[in-house]
Amino acid sequence: MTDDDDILAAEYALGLLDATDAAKTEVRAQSDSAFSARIDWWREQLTPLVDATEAQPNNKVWTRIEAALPQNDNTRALMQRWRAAAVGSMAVAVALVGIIVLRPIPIAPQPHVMVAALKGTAGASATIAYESTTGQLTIAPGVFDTTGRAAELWIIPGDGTPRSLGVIDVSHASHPSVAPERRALIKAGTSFAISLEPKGGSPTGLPTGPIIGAGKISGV
Amino acid sequence: MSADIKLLERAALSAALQRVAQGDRAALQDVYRRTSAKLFGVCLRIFPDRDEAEDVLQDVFILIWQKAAQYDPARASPITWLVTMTRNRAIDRLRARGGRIMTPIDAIAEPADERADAFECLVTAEGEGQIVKCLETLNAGEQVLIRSAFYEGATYVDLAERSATPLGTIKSRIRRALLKLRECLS
Repeated sequence: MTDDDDILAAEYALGLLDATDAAKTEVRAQSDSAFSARIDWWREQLTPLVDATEAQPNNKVWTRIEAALPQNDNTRALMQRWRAAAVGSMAVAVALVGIIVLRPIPIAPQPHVMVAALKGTAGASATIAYESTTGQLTIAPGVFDTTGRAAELWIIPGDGTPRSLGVIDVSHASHPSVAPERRALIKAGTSFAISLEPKGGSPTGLPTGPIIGAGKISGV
Repeated sequence: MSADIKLLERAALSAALQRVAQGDRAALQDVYRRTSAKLFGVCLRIFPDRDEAEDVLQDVFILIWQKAAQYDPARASPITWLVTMTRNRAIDRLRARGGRIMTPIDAIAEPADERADAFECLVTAEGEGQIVKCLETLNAGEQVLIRSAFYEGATYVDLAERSATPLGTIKSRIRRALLKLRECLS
C-alpha cells in the first residue's frame, strides 16, 4: 500500500472526494481487499470523534421508527429462521459426512459365536452354531429324511463356491470340528447349506444332490 | 469507559445487530438505546435543525433494520458501521436537496506550532479515542479542516470554498495532515 493509496483510503473514509472520485474509489475498494481494509481502518480510527457530539433525540423518535417498520414482518423472521435452520442442518450433515469419511473405518470384530438357522424344502431344518475359537460346530438337526444317502454340510463363502465341511450325522445333535483350512471361511454373512450326497460324501467336491436346507450365518 | 466495558458493549451491540438481521424488533430497540445519542449527534452536526436531524435518525434506523444482515463484524466494529451509515445517510440527504454547509472556515492560520485555544478546550473535552489526541498534534488550521470533513461532510471543494483557499492548496494541506495523523495513530 503506497502512501498515495493510503491517503486515498483516508480521503474516501472522511468523505473528502467529489462524487466522481468517490464512485471510482468505491469500485476499486470492491475489488481490492487490501485497499478496502485501509478504508475500514481509517473509519475505525475516526469513529471516536462522535463521542464529542452526543445528544439525546426526542423520545418520540423511537415511536416513529417502530411505527415505520413494516407491519407483520414475521414472515421475514420466519424465513430467516428457517434458512438458518436449513443451513444449520446442512452444516450438521456436512460435519457427519466429515466424521464418516475421516474416521478410520472400524474393522468389525468377527463374533466368536455364530449361528445359522437352516430351512429347506419339505420342512427340513437345522440350527447350527459355530465357535470360532475352538473351530467346533454344534449341529441341532430337525427332521431330515436322508434315507440311503448322506447329509453333507457346506459353507458358501462370499465367492459363492461351496466348500465341504464334511458329512454330518443328522440323527442327533453333534459337535464336529471344522477342518482348520476351512475355518476362516465361516463368517457372519456367509451361509451354511446341507445337501444330500452319496454315502461317504460328494465325489466331486461340490454338492451333487439336492440342497435340503440353507441359512445365513449371523454373529451372536 | 474502561477497555473491558468497551469490549462488552461492542459484543452486545454486535449480537443485537445479528438479532435485528433476523427480524427481531426488540433487538432494534436495544441498538437504539445503545447508540441513538451518538448517532443523533452525528445527524445534528450536519442538520442543526433538531426536527430535521430526527428525521434523518429515523431514516437511519429503518436502514439498520433493512441492512443489519450486511454488517460484517470482521470488517468493522458495530459502532463504526452505524456511524458510517449515519454519516452517509445524512450527507446524501443534504446533497440531494442541494444543501451545503457554507459556514466560513478559518483555515489560514498556519504557523506550524500554533494552537488555537478554542480547539484545545474542545479536544480535552472529547472521548478517549487515539484520534482525539492525535488531532491535537495538528495545527489549528489542519484540525478545522479535518473536523469539518468528518462532522459536516465537507468535500475538498467545499473546504476550498469555505476557506477561500485554492483547491490544490487545500488538498496538499489535508494530505499532509492525514499523513501526520496516520503516523500518530499507527
